Amino acid sequence: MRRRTLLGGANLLASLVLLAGLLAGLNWLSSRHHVRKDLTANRAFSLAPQTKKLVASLDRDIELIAFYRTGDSAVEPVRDLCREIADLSPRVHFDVVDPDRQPGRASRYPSLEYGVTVVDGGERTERVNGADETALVNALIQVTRREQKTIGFLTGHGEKDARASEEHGYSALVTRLESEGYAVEPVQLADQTAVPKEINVLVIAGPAKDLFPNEAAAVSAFLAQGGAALVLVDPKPSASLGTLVAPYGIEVGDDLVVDVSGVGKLFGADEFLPMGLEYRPHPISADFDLTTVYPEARSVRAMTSAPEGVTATEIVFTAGASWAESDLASRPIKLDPSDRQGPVCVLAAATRKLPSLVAADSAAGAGKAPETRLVVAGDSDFCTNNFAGFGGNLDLALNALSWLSEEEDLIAIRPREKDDRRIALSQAQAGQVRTIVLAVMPLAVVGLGLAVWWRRR
Amino acid sequence: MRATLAIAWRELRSYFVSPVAYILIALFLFLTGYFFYSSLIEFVNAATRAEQQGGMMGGGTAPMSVNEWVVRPFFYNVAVISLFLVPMITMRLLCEEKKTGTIELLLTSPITELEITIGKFLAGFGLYALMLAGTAVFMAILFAHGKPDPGPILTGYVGLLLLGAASLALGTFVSSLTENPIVAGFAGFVLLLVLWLLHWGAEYATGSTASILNYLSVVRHFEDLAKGVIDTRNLVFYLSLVVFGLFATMRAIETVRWKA
Repeated sequence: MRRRTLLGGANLLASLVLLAGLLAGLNWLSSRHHVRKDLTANRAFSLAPQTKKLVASLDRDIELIAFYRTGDSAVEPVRDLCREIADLSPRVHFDVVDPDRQPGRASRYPSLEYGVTVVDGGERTERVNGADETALVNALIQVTRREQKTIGFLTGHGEKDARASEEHGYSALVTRLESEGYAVEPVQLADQTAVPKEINVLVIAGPAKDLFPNEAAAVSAFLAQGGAALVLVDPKPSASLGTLVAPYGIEVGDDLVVDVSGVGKLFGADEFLPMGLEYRPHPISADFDLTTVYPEARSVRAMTSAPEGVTATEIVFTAGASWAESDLASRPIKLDPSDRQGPVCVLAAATRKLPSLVAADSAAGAGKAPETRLVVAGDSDFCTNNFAGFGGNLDLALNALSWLSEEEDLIAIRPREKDDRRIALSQAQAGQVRTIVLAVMPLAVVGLGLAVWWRRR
Repeated sequence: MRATLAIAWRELRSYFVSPVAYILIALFLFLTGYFFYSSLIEFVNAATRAEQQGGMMGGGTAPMSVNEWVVRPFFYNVAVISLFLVPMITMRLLCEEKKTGTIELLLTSPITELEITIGKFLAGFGLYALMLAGTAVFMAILFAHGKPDPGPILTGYVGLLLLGAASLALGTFVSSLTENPIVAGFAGFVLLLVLWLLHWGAEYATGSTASILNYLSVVRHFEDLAKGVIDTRNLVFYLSLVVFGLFATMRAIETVRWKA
């Protein structure tokens, strides 16, 4: 008798294990070949066809890591989006990581913040804020692009040192750039005739002296062939590089921005450290709403009549209670009629489409874009190590460089319309609902039960 | 087939003959109704506030959807409540028979274990489905005062039915292992809880362990259905659990026959 039950038990266990194995195999199969349908009205959980195409054609493994604190509900739309993407290709792996719980993973990405999704393609990484399908797809494109972008920092005129880690150095910015896969090199043009071919973006960071004629010619030629440059100039007595940027519709003011709005005082800045408070629409400032500060800045202006083919846009503006002081000698410093009243622009961008002949020539070159891009700011201190941690300073510099180094085939996906479905309830109706839901229904059931019980008595 | 239905019907009737079923259903409706009503009011208030603020700023307001604020949380709430509810439904299913000894009677009859198993399961599932049907009133209220997106509501109920079926199958299995309904109920609850919490374990694990734990978690598979996405993987998962639970129950009953 004992033996039979033991045998019976073993038999039961064996058949259960067998079945479990069979079902596991079935599930494994189903995860390889599955059908997925989004039944929401606005297709909220379906990806755009461009996204599907791109993800299907990925040629390397991608990690999507959403760094959100546990319990932060903002991760939900990100999770929805990234899951769909990861679903499309075995090359995409998605994880949600709490940076506090897994600091090791978070430390692989310098100056990481909460609420950021990292797109890690191995050599290159990009970061995306929020659940933006366009941004994610563009990040995917960027990290899988074969060629590496090289950013060259001009030297020889007292510019900020890209590798220096003291307060006036740019090491924080450069570390971040390198972590995202850019190559950073110094560029010396004093005895050269041309900017090195591998440079995609030239950065001139606060030259104290003007460029030599051959240097200026080299940079102009570089730009004219579809190059990109970030030109950061400081107020007198530093060089203005006005002639360099004039062909691109940008004027550099011979002044100093004075900000008496008092906003700066909140952060310990005085009148000569104007805050950037307003951002006009431009890819550099898209979704950008942080404050920035510019320690001693000139004004930058888009010419009223730009040269042919040029589009110049003023982007960053200081407070209304500020002005561009042109007479720095006389005291007290106050707003004169000759001064430009705020808001004053301190950062502007310009593009110029290449004339077609030049474009054909440079198509043979090393992947130059068919348009010249230029960003000019009246201050080079805002992205030094000292100020990189302030508000959006570092992000603005990164946005500018990202825009400057971007190629033309990045896609824009129309954001899916979020569904708006509301419920209109007056006080009376709410009361009705409450009665029905909390009283009538449960009591009806109880009543039914009582009736049945009564009848059976 | 007829025997199966006969067993199912008999079991279902026995639920409704005692006050138990009515109390369960009433409690279930009250609880789910409470959550439903709270999120509905919260949604309406938030929408009103947003409109007022938007009006002041002179712009429009961000889109707000009743599906996101009320429907989806509702399905999650019901899923959690099912965690407690299902063991209460299944605990008597086979225990009673074992305790009173009627199981031997059943087994000596020409009715097969398969028919008994499926019959009992169908009864439990029928009761569960009935309860869910009651909540349709809540959805009707939403449609009466607005235009919710029907797709996710449909998939949400499918999800609840699948989750319920899987939980019921497992609960039935547990119930077939013991004579004591209290033990059956408690053990069933623990089993379901473990399956629920597996995705927590996944958060602390890494690599393939994490993937497996994630896959086994009943919550993970529910998420897609709760938001409006039908994926065959989730269907296969839940149906696998149903098959496993019912098969295991069948075998467990067979061993009783062995012992008899």
